[in-house]
Amino acid sequence: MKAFAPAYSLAYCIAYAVVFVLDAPLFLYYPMEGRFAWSWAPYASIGPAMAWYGLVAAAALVAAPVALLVPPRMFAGRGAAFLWLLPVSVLGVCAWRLKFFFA
Amino acid sequence: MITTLLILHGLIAVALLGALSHQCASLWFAGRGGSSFAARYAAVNPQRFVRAVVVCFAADLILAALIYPSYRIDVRIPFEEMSLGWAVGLFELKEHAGGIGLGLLPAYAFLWRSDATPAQRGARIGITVLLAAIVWWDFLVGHVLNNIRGLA
Repeated sequence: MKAFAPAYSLAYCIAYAVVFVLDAPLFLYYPMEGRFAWSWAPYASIGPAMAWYGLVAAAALVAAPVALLVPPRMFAGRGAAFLWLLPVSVLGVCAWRLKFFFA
Repeated sequence: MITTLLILHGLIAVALLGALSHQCASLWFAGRGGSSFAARYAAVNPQRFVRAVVVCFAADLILAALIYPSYRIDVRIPFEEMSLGWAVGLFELKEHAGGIGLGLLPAYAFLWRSDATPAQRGARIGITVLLAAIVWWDFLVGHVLNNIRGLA
């Protein structure tokens, strides 16, 4: 069980990057109306949709089963370095994906 | 109500900054000793901050999630109307950094166990510095954006 925590973090970061790059949040939130909708069945809102809650939820859900597949010994040795190197890379992916805001 | 939540969000962020900065300083100055201000700032038991960091980070993110819809309507739309795309981009980076930081908390708590292996103690430095960088980034961006156009 001890190995689940780091495996979960690693899987969460990978899932977050994939979901973000593919623009596939679990659901969207429409703050003007206070309504939620599955991202594959968007609601015809007069206002903007927010994807962040759905991104976090999707990454959190996907990470749980994936973390069970990670071998526990992975984080005993040098593999532990992935626990901070991978999130740094994911942050880089996010920055790259958002570069159009700064163009 | 939003102003109260925003102030609470900022106050918890300050506590989080303090805890993570103390931890980073203690890792940097580990075993050096001395009586300078920096050495005394670093002379803490970093293990004692772990639970506080996890609780403060999670609590702060919950508050951020509650405030977020107000930002989306009352701040981001005016930013877009003012052609401040960079400000919107900074916030987007802030929200994703926060979301990734949330996912790092289990690994952070795992690496700060007292029975961590030498390799895990090395990774502990990386993840603590990364979390501190995320919190500092989110804090400073939040302040800059709030100075451009605040909530409420």
